[in-house]
Amino acid sequence: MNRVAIIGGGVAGLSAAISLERRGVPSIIVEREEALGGLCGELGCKGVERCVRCDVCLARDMVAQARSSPLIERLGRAELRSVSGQPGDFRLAIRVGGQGHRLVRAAVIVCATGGEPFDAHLDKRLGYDELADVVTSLDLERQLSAEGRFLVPSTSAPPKKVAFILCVGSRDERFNTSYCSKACCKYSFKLAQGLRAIDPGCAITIFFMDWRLYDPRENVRAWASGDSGVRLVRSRPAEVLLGEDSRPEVRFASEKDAIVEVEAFDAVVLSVGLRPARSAAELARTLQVETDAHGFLRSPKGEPCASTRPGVFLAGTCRGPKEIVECVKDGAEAASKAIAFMGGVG
Amino acid sequence: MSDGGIGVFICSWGSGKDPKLDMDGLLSFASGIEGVALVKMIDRICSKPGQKEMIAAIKGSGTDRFVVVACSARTKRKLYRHIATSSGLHPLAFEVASVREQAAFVHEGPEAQRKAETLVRMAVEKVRLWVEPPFEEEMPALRNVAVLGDGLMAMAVANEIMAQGLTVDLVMSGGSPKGSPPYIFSNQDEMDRALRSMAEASSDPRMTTIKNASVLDFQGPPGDFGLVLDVAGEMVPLRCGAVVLAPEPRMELRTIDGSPAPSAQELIARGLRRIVILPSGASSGIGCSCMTPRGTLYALSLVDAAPGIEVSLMGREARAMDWMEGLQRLAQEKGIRFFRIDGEPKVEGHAPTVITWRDPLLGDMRLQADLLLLDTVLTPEVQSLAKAFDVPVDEKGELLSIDSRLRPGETVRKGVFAARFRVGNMLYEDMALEAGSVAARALEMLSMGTLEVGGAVAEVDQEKCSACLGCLRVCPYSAPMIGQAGKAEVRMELCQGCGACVALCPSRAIDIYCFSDSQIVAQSRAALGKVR
Repeated sequence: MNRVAIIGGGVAGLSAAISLERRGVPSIIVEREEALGGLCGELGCKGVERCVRCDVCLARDMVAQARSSPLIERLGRAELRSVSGQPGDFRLAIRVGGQGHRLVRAAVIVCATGGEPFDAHLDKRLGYDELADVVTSLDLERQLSAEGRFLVPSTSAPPKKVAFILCVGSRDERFNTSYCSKACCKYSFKLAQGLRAIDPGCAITIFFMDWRLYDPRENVRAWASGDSGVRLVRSRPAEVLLGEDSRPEVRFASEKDAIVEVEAFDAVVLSVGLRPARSAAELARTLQVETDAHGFLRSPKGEPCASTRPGVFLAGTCRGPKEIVECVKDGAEAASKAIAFMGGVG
Repeated sequence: MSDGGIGVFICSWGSGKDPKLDMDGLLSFASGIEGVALVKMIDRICSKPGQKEMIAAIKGSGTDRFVVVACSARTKRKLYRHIATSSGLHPLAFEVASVREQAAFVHEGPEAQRKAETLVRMAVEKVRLWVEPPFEEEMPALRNVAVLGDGLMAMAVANEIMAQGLTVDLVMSGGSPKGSPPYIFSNQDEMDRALRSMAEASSDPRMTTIKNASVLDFQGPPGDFGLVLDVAGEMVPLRCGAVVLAPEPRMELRTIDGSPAPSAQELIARGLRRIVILPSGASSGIGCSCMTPRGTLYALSLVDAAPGIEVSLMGREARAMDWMEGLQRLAQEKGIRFFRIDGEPKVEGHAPTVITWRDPLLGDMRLQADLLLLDTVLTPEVQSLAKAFDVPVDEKGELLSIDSRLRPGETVRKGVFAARFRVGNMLYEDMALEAGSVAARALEMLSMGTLEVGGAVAEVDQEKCSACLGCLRVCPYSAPMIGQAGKAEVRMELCQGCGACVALCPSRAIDIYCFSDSQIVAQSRAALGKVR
């Protein structure tokens, strides 16, 4: 018995499965949804004129790779109910949609259940509840990937002026999310580039706190200074309200002088961060692992991808916010740790 | 040339779901191509029943090569090879027409269909001229990894590899592991543990440490590399299955004349009260580290030791992740000031030094400093390793990964892996993850025990070769050599099939299996509609 059970078939779980496969170790992916791909699978390519390295295709490639591998078994619409046995010989009770329960034996468990995008309804001041033309980055992304363009929800017309508000539900103590979500300023930059490429008549304003792009090719300042249709404002808007012409109005502290400005936009995009999955606490109980102060599954300091229980490893955003590439690395590392736990191979 | 005829298999990918392509039309189009002996629609080739059906069809028909009309080979090559060998064919006896990515995804209506047909024809014409490559055998791989680096990163890579039962040769440029590591530790305990595991690794019997070594030569195929090291003036050979490059930059706070940052006691003794820390790469924004915890931690250490000291940190973005955000707040509570720079700061005078800059929020700013410190990053190992292994360096001064996204850790050189370093802002934990994932790449390659050799490799037509030595010069892998007959020969185990020699050869004596000139010409003619 050297099989690894992977809970979750998003990029981190897929990366673990593929890494294990390359080293001849069989695995079984337990995925809650019908299809593999996770949150990444819902996103769309952000390249319009050229590739902007959003990494979304990585997920598609990995799904294809996993599907065609004889060493990777997949259980769709499957949910982990309980874990018994001990490290080295776990027994997982899994409920498979429409097929009743299944007992899976595995030496090691890799948990890659992911996080969740921040629910924009929670931040009442930003108007996601009340204003039709306030959307989340995910809403925008889904529309872009399905239809190849973005229309203002209330008028169904192409927008002429769009605002992005970064760090929504990130670096915000009100929601116990004081951490940086790592991915949002990167994907927002790419989404904004996409909108500009689709419609050069659409001006974009980005309200940001700090840019945390590390790739020198992703120079947001150079992009903004070379494009008159783009404006960067270092400010965290306080509110989004309904304006007189029924467009959303953003209230923010001006960069120039310390005064409050109000500006109307056709649409406001809330760039939502990542938070722990709603099911994380229950999952932690099932797996008998600990969570951290924010509710993510906890890796002991200095031991990436380990959990607080031997034989159970963590990969991807279930253990904290991460971008796609980091999830891929995490998967490989969790696979490596799993193999080492089983005594190494080959 | 095909004796048994060409098989064409069309994947229906769940029949009818994609209205852009008429798969039945594609099927009848393929049947009309000369030399095609078998055309079959398969319900999803990536499904197991689909694979079985396809294997049975190949076996029953006597075709000796086939074309898959489906998704890209990028993700499915392994599967198609599996189908080929399971059907008793050569593992490379196929071509892929990736009609999904190249037609259905990018074109509409009749245009998509036309392009799909062209792609099918191109693949058929190419596979028609496929010649069985000389070898596709597997060569045993050596089961040790050479890890090059002096710091914690190299040790972490070594630890990970040894944990999986392989042995490590640690090649250090210096005489002992480097002292203060350039990572950010969350607490003293984490740092102690890191240093302890480093010490444990050094005494692990699975590790051989070679000190004061530099690389003189690097030869051989992946799986059986031969290094020649200069160890304190002596030539020492080293064989290994894979190489991991794990150089670690040194990051230091230095004064403007290059001396190390003084301690709090020294500052008090010298009467230096106002300290300003600037990033050395202020204008680029990359490697801007003052606003990150390294600068903050130093500032805190000063303020804690000598409360009268004023420290100002300058930077562009606050790049603090995780628990480090709290650190900045703590620093601010203790009176440490953070300033943002817009553009290039101006530095004038000496003791006091006057710094003027533009703050995006506060406008023009001016500050006097008794001591100015620069946050500097030194990467002495990177250049020498890059040179020794012929791995390019990127614009950040890091070893270039072949594709840091698709294949993190791999370099342009197969079997040579490189750990990357996020300058200025690397948590110890991030480093451990990087080390682990790079080690995993090397282990993936070696743990199966065998490697494939041959396939798409170059071969020299001895009749045509004039021994001009062009291929020897141009080959990045040192694969060609002059054989006993005085003509060039390509050592198959070294050839990576890049085609550089083919393009250069003035006698047109070199061709690559699976990508021969005649195949490319036939394929191009098909693309231009010039039907046989």
